[in-house]
Amino acid sequence: MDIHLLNALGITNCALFRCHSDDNIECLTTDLDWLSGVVTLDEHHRMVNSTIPSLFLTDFFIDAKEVWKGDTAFTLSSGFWTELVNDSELRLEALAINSGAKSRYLVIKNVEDEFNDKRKTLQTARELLLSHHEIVGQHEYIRHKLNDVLRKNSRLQRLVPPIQQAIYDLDTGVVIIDAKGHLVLDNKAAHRLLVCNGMTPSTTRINELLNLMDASQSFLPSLIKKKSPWQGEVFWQPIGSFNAWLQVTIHPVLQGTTLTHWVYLFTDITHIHNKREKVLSASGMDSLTNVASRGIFLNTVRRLINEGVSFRLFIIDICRFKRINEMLSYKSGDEILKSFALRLQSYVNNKGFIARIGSNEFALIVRDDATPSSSPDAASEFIPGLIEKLTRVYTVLDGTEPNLAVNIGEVSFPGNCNSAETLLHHADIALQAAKYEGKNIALTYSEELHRQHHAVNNLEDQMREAIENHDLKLYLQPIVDLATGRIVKCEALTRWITKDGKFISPEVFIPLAEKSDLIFPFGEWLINAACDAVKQLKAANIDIRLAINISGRQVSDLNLLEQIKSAICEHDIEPRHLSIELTESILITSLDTVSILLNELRAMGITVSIDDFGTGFSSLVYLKKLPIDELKIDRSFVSELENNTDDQAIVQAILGLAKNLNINIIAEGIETGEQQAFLQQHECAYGQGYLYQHPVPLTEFISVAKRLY
Amino acid sequence: MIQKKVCILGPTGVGKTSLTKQFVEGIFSEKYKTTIGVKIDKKQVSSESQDVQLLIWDLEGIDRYCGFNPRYLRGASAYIIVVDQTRSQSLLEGMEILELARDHYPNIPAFFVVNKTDLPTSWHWSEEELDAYAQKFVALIKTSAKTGENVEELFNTIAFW
Repeated sequence: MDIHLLNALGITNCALFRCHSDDNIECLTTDLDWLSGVVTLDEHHRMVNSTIPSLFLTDFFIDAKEVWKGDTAFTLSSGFWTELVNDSELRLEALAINSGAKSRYLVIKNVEDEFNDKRKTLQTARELLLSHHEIVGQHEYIRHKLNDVLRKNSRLQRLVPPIQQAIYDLDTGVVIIDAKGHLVLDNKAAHRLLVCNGMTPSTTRINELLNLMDASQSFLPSLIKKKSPWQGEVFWQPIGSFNAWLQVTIHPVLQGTTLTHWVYLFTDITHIHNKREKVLSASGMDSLTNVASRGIFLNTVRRLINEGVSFRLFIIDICRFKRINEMLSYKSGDEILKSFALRLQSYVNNKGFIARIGSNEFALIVRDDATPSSSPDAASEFIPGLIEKLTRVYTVLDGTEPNLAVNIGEVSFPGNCNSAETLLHHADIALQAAKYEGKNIALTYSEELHRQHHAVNNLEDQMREAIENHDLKLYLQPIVDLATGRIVKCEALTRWITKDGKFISPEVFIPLAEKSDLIFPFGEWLINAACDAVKQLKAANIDIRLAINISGRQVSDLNLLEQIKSAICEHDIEPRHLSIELTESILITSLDTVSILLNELRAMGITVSIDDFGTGFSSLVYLKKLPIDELKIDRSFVSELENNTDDQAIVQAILGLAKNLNINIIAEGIETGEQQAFLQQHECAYGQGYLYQHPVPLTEFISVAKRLY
Repeated sequence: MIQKKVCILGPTGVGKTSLTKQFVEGIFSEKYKTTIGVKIDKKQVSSESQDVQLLIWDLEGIDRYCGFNPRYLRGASAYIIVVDQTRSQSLLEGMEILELARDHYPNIPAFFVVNKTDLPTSWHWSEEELDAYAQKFVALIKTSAKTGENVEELFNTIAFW
């Protein structure tokens, strides 16, 4: 549609120029009355470069010419500016457009309406910001003054009456308590805000306030230790009919390291809080963290792409945040999210744009031109520094100090895509790949990473299908009595041959399951398959235990115990025929959970083994604390047992330890007669390995077991 | 005549636009009206030997709603970082802005302006601490856009620096 018609209809209000060359910029819309205040045109409607009335536009031309030079298609915005033309203010924005097909344009938009909308929103938002700063500043000021006064006059009675009166008359609520918790002074405003009366003095209300804040016993001592105040916003509802948002400062007054007083300051900020929520929500900001929301973030990415700005985009995910919410309360979770956003903001300062794009996902944009000092070293230190800052201990009001872990996916622009959505998608792929690698991992998107991730996803889909269709097969490997050679137990191992006949190693699919949620359906399948195998062994008159491996993530799953009980019941087998194997690493991360689970299993008659013993932290603490029946010496100590004196010493030490603790030992990975002989010689009771039998399907195992049982 | 570009930077609400208005138009309004984007004003200043036209780029306050755009500093002869002595937070934010500007333009002289001297100081920094911050700038000038105190002096200093 013709630009003149659009302008005439009021659909647009912009001047359009075609750039034939830097010196030949032809105006296609000469009929705009405001245009002469911004540019000068000659008789051929060409812009006279030597006399551009607008200083701003003259400056913008430096960037615009760069845009028009290349063959890359993109648009550069000047940002809004105000131009005084004939005593009236014009609100303008210029765009330098390179369509990439040898078409170059300059657009000068009259953005009066957009400007006014933006100003209206930001006017309110900034007034609120200033009001809040003013209150925080007042608290700071009063806090410092009172700190000085209290350090000089530990008993305020010595203060001259005018100072006491001045404190009493402050608009800010003040309560001063001595180290023993006795009230030293409070004022009118504190009485009003805390809703005090004869029956409920300010000291009582302060205790209620601390309770409301979920402040634990360690909260106040931690302020003394850090010699720093606490400032924050608290929703205060001491009685049913009264509620308010309070700006609260809690300040410990110290003489050296000894606490002398507590100073509490309060200001009602309900009006700021409520209005800020509305403004932030209307302007697309996240009302909890005060950073941009997903919508604004996407628009910012689109704008930067249009402007051809080079930048790095990061998506930062807080690992297992749902669990933090559940364990510490949603209030503490919100507090952590606010601190997290602040830390992120302070790390990037004004050099980055941050947004909260999901419940526990933040995004960050860092323009390349915002970090000119970024040497390769600085760039490589950016991510480790960011992870270090974001994962430092968080102090929440209930006194707990949770440690968070994060994962980061990164993508760069320009790269191999040019839409905001695709960039975000690529960053998300890098993030998912990082999550797959573990905690506190950051990965940068690349096509290779994409391919790998795609392959992993495909394999996950195939494994999911294999579990659902019972395509996984249970193999059994015997555990023998080294003295007699008889089978006393067996271990269940899973084998997976895809429909097209491809063997997928357990070393591939077990970690795959553990890193995804597949571990739960896989674990359930394994428990049921194991119970079914026990039933068939029993039917074949083979009365031995069958061991299954339990992963760390399964141990944390509250359903695990019920699944085991239910499978035992469904297959009508005895629990004494089952044994579970855990690795040492599970004990490090979930000792308490494991302890409860193991005691329950033990009570049912299921025995417990520690797998791969010696490869982890091998702490004696859990051997003492947990109900453990067996240790399985890792194959890495057995494989060179004939020649490696270090391995011999380790194995002997484990055998001695187990003997003293009355725990059975199974040596894994026995492949030679020499290894067997060494173990027999040092009184190792049981062994497992290719020397006796490779893992085989159940039917084959039954025939082997009938010979050796 | 020599033209000099001067950029006025600072956090929100410290009085950047008020300083410009006071200098260019000699007026002051108590009403806070947030700046969006950029506005350029011109004013000629003269000394006995020289006339200089100052091109004053009044930039939107840098805060969580508006980031720092280094492009605007291109070609500047000087920039001013304005802070508000009634708001301690503005001093910290002002120092962060200085770092950003320095990263891009380490050689442009930076002037430190502590504005609103007509109002009582409410920050808790001592003069010594303030002087330590001032060391990062070529000059510290305390101004009041309301009364006009030191406003002419500020721009004259920059014009003939």
